[in-house]
Amino acid sequence: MGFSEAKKAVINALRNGNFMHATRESIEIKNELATGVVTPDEVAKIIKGCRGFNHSTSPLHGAPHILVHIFKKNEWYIKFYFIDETTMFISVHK
Amino acid sequence: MKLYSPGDTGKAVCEDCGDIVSMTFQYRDVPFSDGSGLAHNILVGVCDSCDSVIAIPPQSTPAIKAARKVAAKSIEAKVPSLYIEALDLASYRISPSLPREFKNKLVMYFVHQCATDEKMAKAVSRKLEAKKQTFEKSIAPHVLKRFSMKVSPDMAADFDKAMDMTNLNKTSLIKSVVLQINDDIIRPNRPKKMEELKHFAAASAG
Ligand SMILES: [Zn+2]
Repeated sequence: MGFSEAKKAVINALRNGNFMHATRESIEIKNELATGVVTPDEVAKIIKGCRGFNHSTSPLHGAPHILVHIFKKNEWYIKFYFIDETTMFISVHK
Repeated sequence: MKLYSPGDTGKAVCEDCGDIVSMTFQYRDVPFSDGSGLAHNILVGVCDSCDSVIAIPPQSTPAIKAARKVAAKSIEAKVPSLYIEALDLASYRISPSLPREFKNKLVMYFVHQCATDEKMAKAVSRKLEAKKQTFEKSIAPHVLKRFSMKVSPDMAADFDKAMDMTNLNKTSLIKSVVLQINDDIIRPNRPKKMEELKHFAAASAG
């Protein structure tokens, strides 16, 4: 999945609530969407302002066949992947 | 938007199993990654193969936000900047690669000793009167800096107990602990507690 598709899908997920937070036994405090420091609307706004150069991808640690999308904009660092129709957030922080 | 109930199933990546796995939603107590306490009884996705907590649905966020507020208590004091520099130097001596936040853990390590060891509490309670002169009179004027740390409720209770045991107020306890750290870690050529502290630093970094 490329930049435009990922951007569209993650904004949709944030709008309709079809997302979850990926964890490993603890609540990651660097996921400020999970801890309620930022709202889905605020995250959607940041991603909406992203262009292709704000986006990169990497294989998921622990399951390298899954592609992780990283959006960096105005010091924000937003990291997620997709499983079927669900967006799984790993990090959302400054 | 979807509201999940306990017993519902879904799919997520389990890093321990190294793949996409099926999961079942359950209520669990889940700790915060910075060790500052727990969110009690939140709905989470649990890996069907290894029982790890692998996903959190958005409906658990309000409970997490509330727990985070309770979990992270703040201890703050204004101290002459030399105290902060002493803590940075002590951390650096334990290991040059430690993050600056380690100094808070170092302070709590000594605070815990004051709360649990009467000898230590007594030694620390006498530090300020004896050593304040050299620490606070040597350079004038003093630049005051804010010392601030987020602690778990357990650590906050430790801090209260240490204030009790040493009969010091918050700012004096922090200062006295720094003076103890100065005597134990900074001044000796071969600090006695070094092995123990290197261990503690390695354990708290993970
Ligand atoms: Zn598993």
